[in-house]
Amino acid sequence: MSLGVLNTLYIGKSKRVHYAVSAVPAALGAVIAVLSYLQFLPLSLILAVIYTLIMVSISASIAFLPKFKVSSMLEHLELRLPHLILRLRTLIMAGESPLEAFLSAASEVRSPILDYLIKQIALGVTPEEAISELQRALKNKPVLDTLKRIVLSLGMGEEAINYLKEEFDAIMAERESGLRKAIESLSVIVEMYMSIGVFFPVIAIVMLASLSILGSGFDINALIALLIFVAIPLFSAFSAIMAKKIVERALL
Amino acid sequence: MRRKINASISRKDLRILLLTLPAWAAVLYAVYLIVITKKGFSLYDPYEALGISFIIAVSLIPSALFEYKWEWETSRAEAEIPLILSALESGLRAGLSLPEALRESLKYSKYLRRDLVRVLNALAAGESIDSAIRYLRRETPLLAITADYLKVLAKGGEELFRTLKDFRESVEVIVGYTGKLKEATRSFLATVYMVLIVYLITTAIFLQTFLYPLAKESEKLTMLGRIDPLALTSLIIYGALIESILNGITTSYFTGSRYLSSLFHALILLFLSIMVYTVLLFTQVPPA
Repeated sequence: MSLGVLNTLYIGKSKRVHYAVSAVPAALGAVIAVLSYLQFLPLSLILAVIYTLIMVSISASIAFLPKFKVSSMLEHLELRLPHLILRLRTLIMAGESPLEAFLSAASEVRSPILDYLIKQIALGVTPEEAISELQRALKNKPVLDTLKRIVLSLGMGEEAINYLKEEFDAIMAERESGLRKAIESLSVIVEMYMSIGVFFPVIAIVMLASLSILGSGFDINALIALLIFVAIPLFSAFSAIMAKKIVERALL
Repeated sequence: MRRKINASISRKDLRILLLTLPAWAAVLYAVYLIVITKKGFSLYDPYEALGISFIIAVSLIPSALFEYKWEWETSRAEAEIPLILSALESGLRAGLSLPEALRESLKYSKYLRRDLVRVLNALAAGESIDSAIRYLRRETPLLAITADYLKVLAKGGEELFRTLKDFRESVEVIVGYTGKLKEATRSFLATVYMVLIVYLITTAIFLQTFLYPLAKESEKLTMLGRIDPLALTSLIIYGALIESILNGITTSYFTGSRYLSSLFHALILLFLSIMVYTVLLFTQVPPA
């Protein structure tokens, strides 16, 4: 099923065009590999394999980009659910009609998924239908189940306020248990970061410098420069991305 | 006649400007070395490495201070929302009007006080609450919801005042949760300090007690390979510079900071590194 919210994530707003474009770097890589193998290119086989692998990974990144974006959109929505519920409850308590309150609260969250829902509702689709459609397209994610429950509660009249309070408490309890898990995972990443990002460079510098006195076969300064200017930043970036992913799940 | 110039810069633009300052400063320093002193830039000169580290550290000060201040103010402002709501609730129950109750709640606010005073001044000047609430900051979802809640509160009657307790409790849950996250990740910061201090001590001892004396000895002993202590010292200083900044940034993510507030800690680590290597280089000149 093609949904507007998903189509915009593909290159040329079409799945076929997107996959065709994403295959181009891999095809180029394959051509380089074949030409090198047939010795039409002055590249060693190892270099040709490295180029091909880089090209294939570029292709894979482009191909999977929409999936990453969807996952990031769902994470953002999950992050903002407590705020959405709080705002929704406030507006309903202030006397706004539940649907109007939902539209107003959802527009404040600035989530592409909620924006899509708002658009569908404006086009006359019922909120339940719109969410079911999203569930079918995005493979029934738990956050969409929660969103569906919230939307269904809008038809409960006065009871919606109590229901939303319970939903808010349940989400916060879930978040707290998520926090404990996130801290455990983070401890492992922090230890890994400290060992590889800080202790390993110190040991490597000391060892390489000491050993270089005994032998004179390689450029020790270039090796240490590579470690300091390339390996450390790369590893730090990797750790920061991992930490961000884990902490974001526990953030509010 | 004097003309008043209204110049303002958004926080986002200021953040970009401040974060790129170290890069600009490093480029200017390189230009100074190449064009003005005609000395050229060498990656293996420890004194230039110290110079670059110092320039980057100094140019990082405004960014680190602003980030730390902004995050501190935002989190403090969020933390005082339940107190303000509680005071508001008491005031409204006592029969005060919303502006009067808001004025009473000023006693419990420090970081939102300026915004609340602006709101009250706007109300006193005859603005509607809908318009006056624009003076309340909306940097985080919680602050934005609170501002919107006050708008809603102004529209409602006595019935709505009863919702205050409910709203305050929910806000308390969110604020309490954010506090728990900060508490739980605080130990990571201590670990970052510890490991960088280990880096500094290990490399300083290694250079002073092992590498420099050995470099002098290796000149006499032909069977030993040649080592360049200046180049190695320079690389170790760059290593400390990169470790300090990256540790600061990575810690921001580890501690769940919204912005790069841990740059403040990066700066402390950076100045600590500069101090250690300055003492090392100026007390024992490495053999050339």
